[in-house]
Amino acid sequence: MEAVMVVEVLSGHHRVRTRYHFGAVGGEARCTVGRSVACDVVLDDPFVAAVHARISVDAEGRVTVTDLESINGIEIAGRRRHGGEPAELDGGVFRVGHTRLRVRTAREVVAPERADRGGSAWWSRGTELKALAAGSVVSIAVTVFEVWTSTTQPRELSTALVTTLLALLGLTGLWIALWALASRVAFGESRWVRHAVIVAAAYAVVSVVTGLVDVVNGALGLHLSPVVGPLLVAIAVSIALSAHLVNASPMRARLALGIGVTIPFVILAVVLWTQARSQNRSPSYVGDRDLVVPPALVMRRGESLERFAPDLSDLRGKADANRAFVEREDPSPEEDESD
Amino acid sequence: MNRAGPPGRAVARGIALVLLGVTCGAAQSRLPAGEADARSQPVPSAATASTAARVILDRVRPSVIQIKGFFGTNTAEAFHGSGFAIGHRGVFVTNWHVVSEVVLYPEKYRLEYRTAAGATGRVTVRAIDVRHDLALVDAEGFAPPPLRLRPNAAIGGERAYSVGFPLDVGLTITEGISNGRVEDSFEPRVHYSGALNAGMSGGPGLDGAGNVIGVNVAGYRASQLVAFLVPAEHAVGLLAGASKPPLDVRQARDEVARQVRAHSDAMLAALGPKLPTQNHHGYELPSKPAAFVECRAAGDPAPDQPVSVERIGCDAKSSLYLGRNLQPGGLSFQHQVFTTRTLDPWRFARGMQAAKGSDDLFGSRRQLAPFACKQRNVELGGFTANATVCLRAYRKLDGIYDLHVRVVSKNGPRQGFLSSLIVTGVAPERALAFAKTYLDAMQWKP
Repeated sequence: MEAVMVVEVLSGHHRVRTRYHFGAVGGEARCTVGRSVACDVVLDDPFVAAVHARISVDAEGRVTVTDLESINGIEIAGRRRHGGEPAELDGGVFRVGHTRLRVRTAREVVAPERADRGGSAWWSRGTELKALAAGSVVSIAVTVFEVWTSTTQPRELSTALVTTLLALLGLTGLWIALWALASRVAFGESRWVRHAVIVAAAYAVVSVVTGLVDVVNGALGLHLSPVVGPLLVAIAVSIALSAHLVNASPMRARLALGIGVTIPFVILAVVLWTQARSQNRSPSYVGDRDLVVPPALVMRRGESLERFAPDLSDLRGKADANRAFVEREDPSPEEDESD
Repeated sequence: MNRAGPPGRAVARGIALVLLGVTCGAAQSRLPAGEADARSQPVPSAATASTAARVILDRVRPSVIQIKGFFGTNTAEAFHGSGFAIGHRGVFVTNWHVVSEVVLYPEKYRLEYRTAAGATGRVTVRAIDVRHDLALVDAEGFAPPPLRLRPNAAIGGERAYSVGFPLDVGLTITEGISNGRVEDSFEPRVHYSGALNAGMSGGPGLDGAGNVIGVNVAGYRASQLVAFLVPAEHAVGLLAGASKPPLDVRQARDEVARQVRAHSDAMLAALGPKLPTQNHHGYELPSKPAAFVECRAAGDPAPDQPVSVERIGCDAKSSLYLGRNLQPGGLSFQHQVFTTRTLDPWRFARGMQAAKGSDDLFGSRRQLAPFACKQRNVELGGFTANATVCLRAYRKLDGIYDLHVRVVSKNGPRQGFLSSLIVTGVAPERALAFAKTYLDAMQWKP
């Protein structure tokens, strides 16, 4: 096998900055690395010696790197070496000074070619823009509806709409910018559109799903637990956060998902626990779970008073249980404010 | 209505801010037989009135004491009120709210008396009447002649006097007019138009001849010279039980709870088995159920509001004073009726939802346990509504509960109501029965 060697100078984001090709001479390929113009691979790194190291590929395709008495030596797989014997390079990547180099040979197994079936890739630019447009339209529509229903004075509607949309735009813009900055640091590209798609999709899904749950809750009189809404939001935020992390850091998808799920759910758990702790001890908390919806949407009739009234008989037992709970958990509460 | 003492807390709450000594009119030298007779009486001169006050004060001075409450071993007082001799062996009457802290927290408080002459001694509680805000106490080592009682005789227009120790400034007499029984009050009260200040609670209310017609109990904070006395006959009734052994402090809480429960039962019974209603934009809603229940209605006069709101509130003014932030025995309900001509059903529903959020209830964490609630959509008289019924127990008093009912209509696209009821210090079965009565009264009659 003819020894052929390609030396790639990598950027901080593992992208190839420069590529050098070397042919076989006497069954071996070799080159020198350093700042000197006499070297085969010339680097502009102040932590690299004039002639810093030598890379060799023998007839069997084995790659070795030798430090040529430099001060900083070479670093292979996190281990620094100085002078002496040639060190075998298994992973193909090593470091001189602050520069990372990758050595490729004919022994390298190249990944198979990916078939191009004519369609666009999922994360192609066009798809991303379409997803962004769809997410933004749905998000804005839901927000406009929310503002419209909560503003009873027609003359206040335009002000409320502009204020809310500007606030939404500002906050999401800031959020996207932070993630774009993280992507820039990690990969050297901002991925603005991708992060915007994640935000728009998450906001749209959360708004639509929580809105639908509210309407169904009110229409059917389900009186769902108040935890349902925050839980849906936490799920959406988990997915969005994981997607942001995958696109803004070199971490693996599984780790990103773990972090993305952990953070919102820990926050949710702390908030719910604090809230429940306060409500469980408060003599003023009623816990109204009903949602008023337009009568046309009310799909289920209520039960008769004759059926409801007997059902109240266990309230005394529950009230006594609440009393036993606070006597146990909160025997000496703080003075009331009006005391 | 606010109690006139004890001043330690009453002053802080701004109770009875009327000034002392501002009196007008004249004293009558003898009791009128009736209002017609009273009109024929000559009006005495101002000098005669002042003389009468001086004579009455001199007469009652030996029989009136200041009752002081102390926290722990402190020598500085925590609160004080007044009392007067009613029985021959050192038995005095005062207000329940003057001694309530000692009865409910005997391990924390103690009572002492101080006479007008400066003698002091220990006070023990003998009997209580929470409902009428009266208590009998024994003053150790002090047995002055009792004042003469004149039950069932408070007459409107009669000259009257009130004696006590207001604001710790010494024995004081104020002069005013008895306006007879308050007609629209669940608890019997004599309306005394005269100054009644914090610290005078438990002192005697007297007629022109120096006979006790009532016991000082309360004054309105924001009103001038509107004060109340507990009619003397209730002191007579309590005295009749004074031969029994003194109140066992270990069972005092049970006794207080029993009396509160009896009061609430009587108050709910007075409302009758069915509540009267009034139509508000198609909804028949509970209205003034008895003469003693005070109702107010108000609306938003601004015509350009998209949602018009009518607020109707009723209060039985029947709460009993047990201590700070603890006044069970009350009943109140409010309706908010919403209508719109311009809003669509979506925005109207959202507006009602927002209005629900402001319906907060007060409750002392020290005194009350959290609510236990049930919420359902129910079919009331011809319409669907959401009803929430809640009970909460008292932490230190067994057998009494607070009832809260909240109703939200769900049938009107452009009209609806929120209704809220609270009954405090009531037996649970009675409370839930009244909740049904309340819901039963509501109907849709456009």
